[in-house]
Amino acid sequence: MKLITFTFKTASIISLLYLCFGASANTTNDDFFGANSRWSLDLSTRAIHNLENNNTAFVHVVGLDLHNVLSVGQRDVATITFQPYIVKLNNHKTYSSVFDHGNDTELTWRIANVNYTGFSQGQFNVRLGHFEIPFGLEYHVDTNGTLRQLTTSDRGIKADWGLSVNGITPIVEYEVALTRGSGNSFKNTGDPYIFSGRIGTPTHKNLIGGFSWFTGDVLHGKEVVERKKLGVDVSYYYYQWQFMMESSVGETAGNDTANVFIEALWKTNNEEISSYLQFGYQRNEINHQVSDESHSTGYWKAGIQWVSHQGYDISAQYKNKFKESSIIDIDPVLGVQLRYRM
Amino acid sequence: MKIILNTLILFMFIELLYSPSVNAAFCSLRDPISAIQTLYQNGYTFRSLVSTISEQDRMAVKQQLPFTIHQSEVNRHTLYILYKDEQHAGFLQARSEWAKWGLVEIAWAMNIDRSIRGFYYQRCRSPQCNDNVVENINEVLKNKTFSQLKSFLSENGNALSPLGESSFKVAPGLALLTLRSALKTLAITDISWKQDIEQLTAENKGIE
Repeated sequence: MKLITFTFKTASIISLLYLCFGASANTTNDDFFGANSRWSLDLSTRAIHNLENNNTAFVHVVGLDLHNVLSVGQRDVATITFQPYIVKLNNHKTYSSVFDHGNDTELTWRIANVNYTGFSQGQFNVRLGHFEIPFGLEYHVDTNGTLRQLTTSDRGIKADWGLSVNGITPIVEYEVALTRGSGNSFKNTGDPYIFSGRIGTPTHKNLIGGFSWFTGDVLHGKEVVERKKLGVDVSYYYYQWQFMMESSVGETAGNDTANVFIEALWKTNNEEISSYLQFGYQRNEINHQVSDESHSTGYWKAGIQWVSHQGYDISAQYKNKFKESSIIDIDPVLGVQLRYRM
Repeated sequence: MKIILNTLILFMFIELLYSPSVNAAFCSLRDPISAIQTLYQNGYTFRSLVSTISEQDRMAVKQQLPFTIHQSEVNRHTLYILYKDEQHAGFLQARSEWAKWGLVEIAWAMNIDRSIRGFYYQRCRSPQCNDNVVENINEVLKNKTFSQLKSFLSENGNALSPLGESSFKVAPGLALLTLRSALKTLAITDISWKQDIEQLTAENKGIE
């Protein structure tokens, strides 16, 4: 009943927004948020079925995606990205620290920042706000709101509040960030922080490589966890194929960790359908204070996504383990998502 | 109250069927910084002019060419205005073209008179899109106007003309794709940014 009420209320709010602002940024009110603005409403619903305990959980999302470029005189000086999303959980047994319980509704921030580009128009910019931690493949692959995810779970945080310097030169793309370490909310409990960065080759090429680092105290719930990582990533594009690899070593709470991620992705020539296969492997020291014993675990994921030019996006993904560990349990999970951007 | 809200929802969905959409989140939008740095090099500044390419604009391209832009391109797009020494010095626009292996994204640098200054593959997943091929095609296209470019194309627009065949000896298939993109870019720039270009021309005349 609560779900129906939530869906109804959400749809009503969207209807009103829609009537106020027009069907989309492409119709009558193009310049509502500024002359160079683009905006879109983003709706999605996701079902996640755990085949081990036979539990089905849902995530319903409604968000605004706003992008604007500010110009002064003869130059662009800043890019604004603003993405507040309302997320409603339903029947979740485990959930991120953003939520109070498995049926909670929260305002979350995907990306919300200003990137000041006025110094040298692209070569040296300063970003302030909430943005993706610059590390590995996530730096140049957009996985916001998609079932397909890459290596965020290795670090336990996807986006954070803070400051970065970033830029593109003919030979190097870089971003170096100092952030709060608290993720969605700006919290100083335990004085968390993250210093991270990625330096890589130009991302428009068919062969891309990068070196990343991540060090800091990350806030998880009410505790901070010390995390350190060094990583390398490689991507190669060949016609309709995309191959990606990321490998990292480091420490979590003093215990040694090592991660490897590999993905092969194929798209149809009209790029409406893509399918992928991912493998992830991690080795963790159990307790460095007791012994140097470690355990390892691995998973694989297979996914398919259909994206229409009309804004619909239907995707499905299956995850299962290929290597068991006595400490980390990976349950087989099937996910299905319906998304619409207007 | 419920009836009103239900009516609003129904209205929204009917309207949505006719409205264009965008799939990619805007956080994935990137300025063509590498293209600008390569095609204009140092001493230039740029500003963005975002405009809506409408279905009417798409049809207007069809009046000038035997083909037009893809329906998914009816949306908001950016034209970059380049300046040097405080004067308008050119344009840059990135456009997508469908190849048999997927999307090719090409950044086009245009002179003030909308002749081609050069191009840059922002995304081309074929190993054929290498520096040597780019240089060869660029050499032919450089400083060509819309009508000169059209002469490289067959009447139905699906092949190179005899002149085109003799001009593009290296990678003719890729050259055809690039040529079609050039023509669409020049046409849509003049159509969708008409008022902005007129204003820029007037400003430049004022400076002179």
